[in-house]
Amino acid sequence: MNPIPRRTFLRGAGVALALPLLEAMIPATGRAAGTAIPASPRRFVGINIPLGFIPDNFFPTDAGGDYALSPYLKMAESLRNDFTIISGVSHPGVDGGHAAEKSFLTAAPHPGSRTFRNTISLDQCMAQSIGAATRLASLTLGDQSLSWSANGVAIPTERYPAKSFARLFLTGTAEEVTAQKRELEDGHSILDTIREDAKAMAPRISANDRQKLDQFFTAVRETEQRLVKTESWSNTPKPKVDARPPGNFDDSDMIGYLRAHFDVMRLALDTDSTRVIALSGFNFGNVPKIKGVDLGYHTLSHHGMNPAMLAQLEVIERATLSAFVDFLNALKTTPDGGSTLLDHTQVFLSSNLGSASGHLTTNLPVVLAGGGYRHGKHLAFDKLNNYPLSNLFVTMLQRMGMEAGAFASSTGTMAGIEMA
Amino acid sequence: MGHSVSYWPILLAVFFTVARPILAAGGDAACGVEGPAGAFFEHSCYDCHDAETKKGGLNLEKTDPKMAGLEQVDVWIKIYDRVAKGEMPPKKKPRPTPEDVRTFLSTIRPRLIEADRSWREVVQRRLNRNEYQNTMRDLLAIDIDLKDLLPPDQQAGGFDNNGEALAVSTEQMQAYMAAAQRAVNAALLVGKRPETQTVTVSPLDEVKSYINSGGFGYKDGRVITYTTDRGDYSKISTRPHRAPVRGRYRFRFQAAANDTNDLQFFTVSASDFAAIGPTSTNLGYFAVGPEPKAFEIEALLDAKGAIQFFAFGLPGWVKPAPGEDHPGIGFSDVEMTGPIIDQWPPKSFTQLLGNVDLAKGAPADAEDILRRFMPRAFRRPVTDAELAHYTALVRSRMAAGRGFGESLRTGLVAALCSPNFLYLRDDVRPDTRRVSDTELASRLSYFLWRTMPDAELLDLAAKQQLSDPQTLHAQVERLLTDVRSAAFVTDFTGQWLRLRLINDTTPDEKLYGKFDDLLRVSMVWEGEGFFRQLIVDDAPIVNILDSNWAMLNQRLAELYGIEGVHGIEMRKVALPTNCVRGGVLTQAGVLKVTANGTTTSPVQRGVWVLENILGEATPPPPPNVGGIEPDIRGATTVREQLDKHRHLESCSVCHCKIDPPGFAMESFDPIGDHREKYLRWKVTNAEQGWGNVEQGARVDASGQLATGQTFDDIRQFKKLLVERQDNFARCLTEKLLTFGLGREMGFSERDAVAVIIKESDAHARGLRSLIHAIAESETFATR
Repeated sequence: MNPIPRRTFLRGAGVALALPLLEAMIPATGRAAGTAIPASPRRFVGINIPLGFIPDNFFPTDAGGDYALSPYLKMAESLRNDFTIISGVSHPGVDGGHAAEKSFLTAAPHPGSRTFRNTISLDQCMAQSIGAATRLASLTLGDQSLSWSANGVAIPTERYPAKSFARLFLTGTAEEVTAQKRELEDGHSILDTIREDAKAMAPRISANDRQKLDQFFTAVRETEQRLVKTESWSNTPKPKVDARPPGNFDDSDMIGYLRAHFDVMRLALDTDSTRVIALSGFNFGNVPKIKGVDLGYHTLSHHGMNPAMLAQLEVIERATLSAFVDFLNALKTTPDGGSTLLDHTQVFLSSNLGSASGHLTTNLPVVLAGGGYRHGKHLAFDKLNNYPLSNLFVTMLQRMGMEAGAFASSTGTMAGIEMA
Repeated sequence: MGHSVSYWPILLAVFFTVARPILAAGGDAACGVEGPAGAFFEHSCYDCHDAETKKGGLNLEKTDPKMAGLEQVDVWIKIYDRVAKGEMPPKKKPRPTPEDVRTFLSTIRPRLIEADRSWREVVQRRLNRNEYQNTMRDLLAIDIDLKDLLPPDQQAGGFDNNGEALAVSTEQMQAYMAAAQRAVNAALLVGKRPETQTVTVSPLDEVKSYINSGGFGYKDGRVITYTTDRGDYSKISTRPHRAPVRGRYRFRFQAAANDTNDLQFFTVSASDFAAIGPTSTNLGYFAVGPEPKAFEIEALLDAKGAIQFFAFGLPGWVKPAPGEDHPGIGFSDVEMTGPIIDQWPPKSFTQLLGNVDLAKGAPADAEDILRRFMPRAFRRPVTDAELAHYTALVRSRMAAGRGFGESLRTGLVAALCSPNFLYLRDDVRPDTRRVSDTELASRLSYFLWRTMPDAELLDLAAKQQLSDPQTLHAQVERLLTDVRSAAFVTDFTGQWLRLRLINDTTPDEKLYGKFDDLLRVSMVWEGEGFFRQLIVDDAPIVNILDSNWAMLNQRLAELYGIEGVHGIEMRKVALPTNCVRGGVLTQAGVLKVTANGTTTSPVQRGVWVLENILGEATPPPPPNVGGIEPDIRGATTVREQLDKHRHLESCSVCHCKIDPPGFAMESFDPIGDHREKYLRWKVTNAEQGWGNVEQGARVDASGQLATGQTFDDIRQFKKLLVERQDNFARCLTEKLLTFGLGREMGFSERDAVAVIIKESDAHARGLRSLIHAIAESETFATR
């Protein structure tokens, strides 16, 4: 592979400089095999908790650097200077209750409408730009896909941590590897054939339909490029990690799933198998297997201020945040190019709902952690006239080294976010 | 939930500034409105809807006089409709004369039809996941799951087979390659014929140690379960003997109710017990009384698969007391036979290959195979040039040193990744907008079967006979009678009635103890069964609004308080006079999917009625007004909160329409049980989680429609709906057409919809006749 030229920002200065990142010279065995990656790459993790958090428990009551930690944030006290809390933000025009999950990383308006069409998600935007450098351009995990292609198709999501672990770190039998190589070879000729077939269709279909056919040609071309990439990586052994594959979880064990996803995510980032990860929350129809909870998660979210239900909901939300805090700690204790993995990974956790009890899609809870930002504060925007969350997306794109000026409904970069 | 369309809270009438008239009466739009329409605007609209006031967010200076683009067409349709219904200008303002309104409407109508039509052409749509799965099953004679390999489809216009929403991406393409590979490999799987064996499996082994310790007993050779487990793992199973290979197996066993004379219910499911992501396929729900009854089930099992038994309606836990008996269900040893093989090699293999030997085939054999296969895959005759693409691929693979079998597989996979297979293709013909008979064959079969056309349809199409009215009628009749039409009922009602969302919430067990898995599936059966019965009987569609019969089984009848229904199977039951049930609004499934699990929301239910029964789009609430956050602590009911809400002008425009149907449905709780009072959970000991169910405020199910008509309860509300059955007929017809054609119906098709309804009027607007009228309409056969 050729070295991939890559733009990166000078720390704190916001000046773009072209720096080649010598990925192709680094054996992709990852750090576990003892090879250091010279320039620490920038990474992104986006997490959606689809039912959000009880606002009073989540949001601090005061703003700024000296804010008092909210009841939930107390459990992250030791990380206080590693994250920023943002309130008073949402995606303009993103309504439709639970349907807003589709627009969580895309900010496409009116996801519940009958004519809704999604647009590219933040993670895929990043993957397009920097995905070529790693074995996997991006990882999409969890029960609902947060990742969307430019033409509004959901990127398939991996629900089972054990399966993503296998994809990242396990090598098939020699027979399977040979078979896969032959399949890749055959893949090229299949794509050639269907392209010819599709070309023959073109004169006989309408102008509207030609757009659909163009979509098809694009998909064929890009699939071809992916085959080429897969082929080139198939000669590089997968990184070896000193970790056991995640086990199997009961369908209702949402915290078990969440923690296992986090474990695999840390390994994926640490071995530089990917630099972009989107993780969605759990299917919430079930009664989650957590001590003290005997009602369905979704049911509890419609608590109607019933104290018994609120108490159970709090148990679930605390368990979720506790797993998240442990993930941040794991990133913080993983060394990375003279610093920590957390410093080089911007972790964005939020929800598509500001308050699930009323299906409100405003005042979303946001945690921005790591990534080398100056943290330790509560950025409070107007609760009545929310600030566009897409502005943070632009900031995060730029932090990845991309020359992005806008994303969806953005009006600029996020006010109040600075580099450390 | 599903509010829709762009933000449009108060659409007031039309429009435009004095300086820039926006609509020309028939001429070039840019030269402005002159004549009667212009006068109408001046008098009736301009006050509120200019750039300065833009009431309801409508700034007519920005409204495009050329009506270009879907968004603009939508705006103009709303303008037309609000004026036509007399809703605009609003009551408080001076009214235009009826003559002025008529002139205005007839001026914009033809232009709107023209503008709308340019957007209503059927787009080339690809198969969605269900259609892909069904098509592969029928094309290749295989029964493997491919759906999970494909990305989920998006909905548009309320359905997931809408061409607008069905994009193809790189992920999609890769998934198609993987799915085709898996399908072709399954079809061409060869090997030794597996031996069919019969063994007797005792479920006793796994539960031996639990007998008489509470949960299980053993009597008369049957393992008895006293409890209901809500998980997906049961101790009573055939796991002691796992299926040696993938295939169909037959299971014979006896069951009997224990220590009770009441019918007991159970379900059986198959699982592969995989460590990661185990599968679970339901094999049916059954009822049994105290007399031992023999059961026989056939199931497709994966290698290492087994079946398990789950009882319903028993306690979650039984106190151990030796020697004591409890109500429960006993299951005998299971006789397991399989794999059952009808023919070897399997049909999938011989159907593709004919007599060709996979080990010794030559390129010419591949050409024969593809010549037979491709017309079926492409659902039409195939040209020599098309065939040549794929035979050339097989040849080139063989030339590259691949064996015949492998090369043939590659050719077949390619054909299944071709746009000719993946898309429902309609060619442009210079002289006509009518689709060809072959294209019509696919339209019909994907509408009513959700899968590829069979040989009979394609043969008739090839002979140009399908569009002959009598033949077409007979074919629609055949399609509707065929078992494959079940997929139509499931796919349509799953989305129209939203029955697909039945699992989205788990009702609070403490408040709604009647809810369990059996009730949940019964809810779906009721919705589907009712719709199917209307088709079978060709019963008038007004039954959907209100009927004196219902499709019930014992579980639903118990919930509805209707006596004399025993057993698990669904049947048509006459409802007692003055019963609150009848029609879809009071079906438990609809009531559940429009509720939140614990609370009900008149807004959600109201929106559902407007969108799915009356065919009125409801815009989402405007930004920054905040929604309703239910608070059941104080004296305020949801209704009181909403009353407040409706007195705000910006809310009332929509909520005066949304809330009343929701109020009428308030007399049903989240699982569809009828209620006089709200229930709530009163905590007595927060630490221990103790509490009890209390009756709360009385339900007020009365209301007033936007028209001023009032109702006291759901029964009266349904009567008012029946008065508006023409609106409903239009709504249902448009939904069926949207589903059938894979695109939304527009303004330009209103006349066509009216013609279809009129056609079915000759048969008292029976549902079967309506479907006939749709499938045989000009619209259905037009590009």
